[in-house]
Amino acid sequence: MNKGTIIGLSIAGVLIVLFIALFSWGKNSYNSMVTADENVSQSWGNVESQYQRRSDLIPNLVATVKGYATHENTTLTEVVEARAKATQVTVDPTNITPEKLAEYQAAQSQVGSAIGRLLVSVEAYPDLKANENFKELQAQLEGTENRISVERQRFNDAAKAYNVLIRRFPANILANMFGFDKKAYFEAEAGTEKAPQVTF
Amino acid sequence: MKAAFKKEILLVFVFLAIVNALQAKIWTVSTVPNTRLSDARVCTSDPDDLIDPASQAEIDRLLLNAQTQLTAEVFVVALQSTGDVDLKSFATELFNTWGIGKDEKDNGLLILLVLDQKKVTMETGYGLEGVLPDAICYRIISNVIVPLMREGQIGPGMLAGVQAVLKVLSDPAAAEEIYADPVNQQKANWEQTKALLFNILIVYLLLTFVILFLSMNSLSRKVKSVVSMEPYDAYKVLNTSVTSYRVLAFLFPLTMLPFFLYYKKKSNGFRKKPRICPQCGKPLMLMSEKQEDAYLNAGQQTEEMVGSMDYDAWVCMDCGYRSFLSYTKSFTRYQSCPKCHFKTYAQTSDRIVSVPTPISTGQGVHVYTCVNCDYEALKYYTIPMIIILPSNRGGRGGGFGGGGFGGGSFGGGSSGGGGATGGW
Repeated sequence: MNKGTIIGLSIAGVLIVLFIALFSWGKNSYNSMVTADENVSQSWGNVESQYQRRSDLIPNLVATVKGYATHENTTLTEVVEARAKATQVTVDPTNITPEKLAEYQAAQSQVGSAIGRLLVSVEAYPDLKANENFKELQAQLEGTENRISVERQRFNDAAKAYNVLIRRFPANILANMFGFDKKAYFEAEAGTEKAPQVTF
Repeated sequence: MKAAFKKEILLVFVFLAIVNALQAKIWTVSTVPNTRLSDARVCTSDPDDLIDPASQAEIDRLLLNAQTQLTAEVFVVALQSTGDVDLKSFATELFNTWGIGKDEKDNGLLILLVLDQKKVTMETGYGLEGVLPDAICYRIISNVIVPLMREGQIGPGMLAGVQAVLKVLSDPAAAEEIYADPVNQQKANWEQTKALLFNILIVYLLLTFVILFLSMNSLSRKVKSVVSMEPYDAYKVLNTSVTSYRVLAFLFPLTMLPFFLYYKKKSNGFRKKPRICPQCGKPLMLMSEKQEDAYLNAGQQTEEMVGSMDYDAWVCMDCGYRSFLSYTKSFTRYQSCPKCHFKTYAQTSDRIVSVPTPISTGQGVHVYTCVNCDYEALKYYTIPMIIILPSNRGGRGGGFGGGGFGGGSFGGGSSGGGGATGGW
C-alpha cells in the first residue's frame, strides 16, 4: 500500500458514498410522492362511494314519498333526473383538476338541493312525516350527508399533504421530472354551505 | 369618600362572580374532559352532572364489562351546552380526536347528549357501522332514549340507551365483526428505525473515508519532516505522533488498517536504516534476533521474552563498537521492577484474604512478581461492605383516580360520520 493508492481509494470512497446517499434520497422522495398520490386516489374513491350511497338511497326515498305525497310529482321527477345526471359525471382520480372537480361538485349539489326541496315539500303531509320507514330513511340520508362531508374533508387533507410534498424544495425538482401535478380541493359551494336540513 | 363606596364595589364583584358561575360552560372538543385518561375503567364523561350517580355507576359498569368481553369501546358524554356548533360534526370530531375504539377494528361508539339543544347523537366507528347502522341508531335514540328524556329522566334515559346498544352488540352473530385481537404495531416503528440506521451508516462511511484521507496526509508530511533526523530519533518521533491515531483505530478499525500498514512500513524503514560506525567509519551490522541474544544481558533477554521491550544490536565487525537501541512495545502490562529495574514486573495473581460481610469490610491482595529477579510484592486493598437493598414495594401506581387503577387511553379507532341524531 503506497501513499498514492490509499489517498486515491479514500477519494473514490467519498464519491461512492455521496452517490449512494443521493440515490437513496431520490428513491425515498419519489416513493413518498407515489404513496401520497395513491392516498389522494383512495380518498377520492371514498368520497365517490359516499355520494354513491346517497344516490342509492334515492329510489327508496322516491318510492316511499310517492305512496303518500300525491301532488309532488314535479319534485320527485327533479330528484330522479338530478341523480341520473350526476351519475354521468366521472372524475379520473389520477387527474383531479379544479375544473373537473367543480363539475362533479356542481352535479352532486344539484342532487342535494333536489332532495332538500323534496323533504321540504313533505312537511305538508303529516302521515308521511310520522311514518316510521320514512323517519328511518331520513336518518339514513342525514347519516350519508355526514359521511359525505367527512370524506370531503379527508380528501382535502390528503390532497393538501400531497401538494405540500410535491411543491417543497428540493422535492419539487423530482416531481417535475416525473410529472406529479397539483391536485384540486373541494371548495365550499356558493350559497349552499350546509347539507339539506333534516330536522323536525 | 372611598371608604363609603367600598361595600358597594364588593357587592358588585360578588354579584358578577355568582352570575359567571351560574352560566353554563360552553364545551369545545378540546375542553371536554377525557375522563378515560385518568382512570381506565371510566366510560362516561359528565362534567355538568346531568346524569344521576346511580345511573352513571351502572352505565360505567355495563360498558366496562362490554369492553372487557367484546373489546368494543363505548363511551357516554353528557354536556349542558356546546354553543352553536353542529352537533353531529362535534361528535365526529370528538370521536376522532379521542380515538375511541380499537385501532385494528375501529369498534368504537360515542353517545353524546347536549342538553340545551335537546338532542342525543350517536357516532359509530367504521367497524360498528355494519352492526349499528344509522337506522338502528336512530331507532334506539327515538324509541328508547327520547321518551325518557321528555320526562326529564336524563340518567335513566342514557342508561336505557346503553342497554339497548349493548343488546345489539352482544348478539353472538356480531361478535366476530366487533372483536379485536391485540396485534403488535411494531412495523411502523421498525421502518423509522431502519431509516435512521441507514442515515447513521452513510455518515459513518463518509467519516471513515475522510478520516483515512486526512490521517494519511498528515502522516506522510510527518515522515517527510523527520527523514533528516537520526533514524532512531525519527522512529521515536513517528511513534509518539501515531499514538493519538490509535484511538481512531478503535472506532474505525477497517479504515485505519491501511494507515497503520503504511506507518509500519515507514517506521521499519527508519529502524533498519543502515548506520555508520562512529569509531572507524565502516557500516554497522544489525544482529538478528538470535544473534543479538549473545550481546544482551540476562535482564534484557527476559524483557524480550515477556514482550515488553525489543532491542536492536548494531555491531561493527572491524572495531568491535556496539550500540543497543531499545524499542518499547506500546501495550504491555509489565512495569519497571523496583529491584532490578527491568521491565519484567507485573501482577500475577489476586487473592481474597478476608471476605466482606454486611458489618465489616474485606481485604484482598494483588501479588506482583518480577520475572527476571523473582522479587515479589504484596499490595493490599479493601473490599467494601456488602449492602443489602430494601426489597422493592412494587405494586400498581396508586395515586390516580380512586382505587389504585392507573390511567388509560382509547385504542385509536376512527369514524366517518356514521350514526344518527334524535331530539325532543
